[in-house]
Amino acid sequence: MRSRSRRARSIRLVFATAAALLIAGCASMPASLKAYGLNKTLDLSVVARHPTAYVGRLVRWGGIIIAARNLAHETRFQILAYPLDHIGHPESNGTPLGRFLAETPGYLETMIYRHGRAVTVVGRVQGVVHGKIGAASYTYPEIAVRRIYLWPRQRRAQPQLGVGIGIGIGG
Amino acid sequence: MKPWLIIIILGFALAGCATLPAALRAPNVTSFTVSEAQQGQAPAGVRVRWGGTIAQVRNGQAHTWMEIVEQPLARNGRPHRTDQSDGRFLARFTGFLDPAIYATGRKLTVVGELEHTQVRTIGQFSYTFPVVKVTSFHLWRPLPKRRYWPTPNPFWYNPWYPWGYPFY
Repeated sequence: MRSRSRRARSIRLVFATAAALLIAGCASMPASLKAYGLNKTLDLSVVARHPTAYVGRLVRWGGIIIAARNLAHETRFQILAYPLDHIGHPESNGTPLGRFLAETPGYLETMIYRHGRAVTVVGRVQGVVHGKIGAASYTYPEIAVRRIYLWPRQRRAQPQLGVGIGIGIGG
Repeated sequence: MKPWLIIIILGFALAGCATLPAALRAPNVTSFTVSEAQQGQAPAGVRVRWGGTIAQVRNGQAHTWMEIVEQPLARNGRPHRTDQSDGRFLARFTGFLDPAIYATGRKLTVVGELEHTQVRTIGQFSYTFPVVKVTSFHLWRPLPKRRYWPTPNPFWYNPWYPWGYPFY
C-alpha cells in the first residue's frame, strides 16, 4: 500500500515536472505589459474618429517606431501600429492599423528606441493630435505611456540550404 | 598524451582568445561608469576606457566632439551589440576626424581622462554629459552580416566550383 502510493506520487511528480517544462517553453507576455482595466477592443481608428470619447481609457498598443524625439521632460514616439499577438508582440507582417503618438515621461535613448524597432506600450488615451505627413493632414491618437517594452531585435538569418545538380558542357 | 600535442592544442585554443587592441591598453584605467561620472561621483582626471555607438559628430576648429551611446565592452574592448546602455558621454579628440568615417552608428572605444561634465541638449532634453579627453581610441569595423550560404548557390551554375569546367 505504502509503496504504491509512493509510486503514484513519483509518477505525479514526473508529470508535474513535464508539464512545468512544457509551459516554461511557451513564450509569455512580458510582466510589464500586463495591466488591469485594459480596454482590449478599443481600436486606433475608433479613437481617431472620436477624439474626446475615449480619453482616459487604458490601452495596450504596439508597433514599429517611425520617429523618436527627446522633449524637455518626455520622449515622444510616432509609432506605426500593428495588431498584437498573444504575448503582446506587434505582428509586423500583418495589416498596419495606422499611426499613433506615445509620450513617455523622462529621457529614453533614441539611439536604442530608434526607427524600425518594435515596441508595445500600455497607457491612457489622451486625445488626438492633428499633424501632417508630407502635405497630407493626419489625426494621431495620443497615448500617455505608463509602460513601454522594447522587443529584442529579430534574428532573421536562418540557414538556407540549397542542393544543386549541374551539368557542365564546355568546349 | 604527448607533450607536443598538448602544446599545439593549447596554441590553437589561445589563438582563439581575443585581446585588447594596442591603442586601448593603458595603465591605471579606473572602473568608473558613465552614470557615476554623470552624477559627479568620478573625480576629474581619472582614466577611463569607454565605448559605444557614435550618435553625433561635431567638428570644431581644433577638436572633434562626439556623442557616444555607451555600451558594455567585451573582453577585446569592442562594445557589445545590446540594448543596454549606461547613457551618453562626450568624447573630445584633438584634431580633425572625418564624420564620413566616424559616422553615426559606428562602434568606437576610447581611452582618456575625465573632465568636468557638460550640459547639452538632445532634442529638447537637457542632458548631463560626462566628458572624456581622448588620448587613444579604436574604431571598430562593422561586423559582417551572417550568411550561412552564399546565394545564388555556386554549385548550381558551376558543378566544378571553385574551378571551371573541366577543372580549369
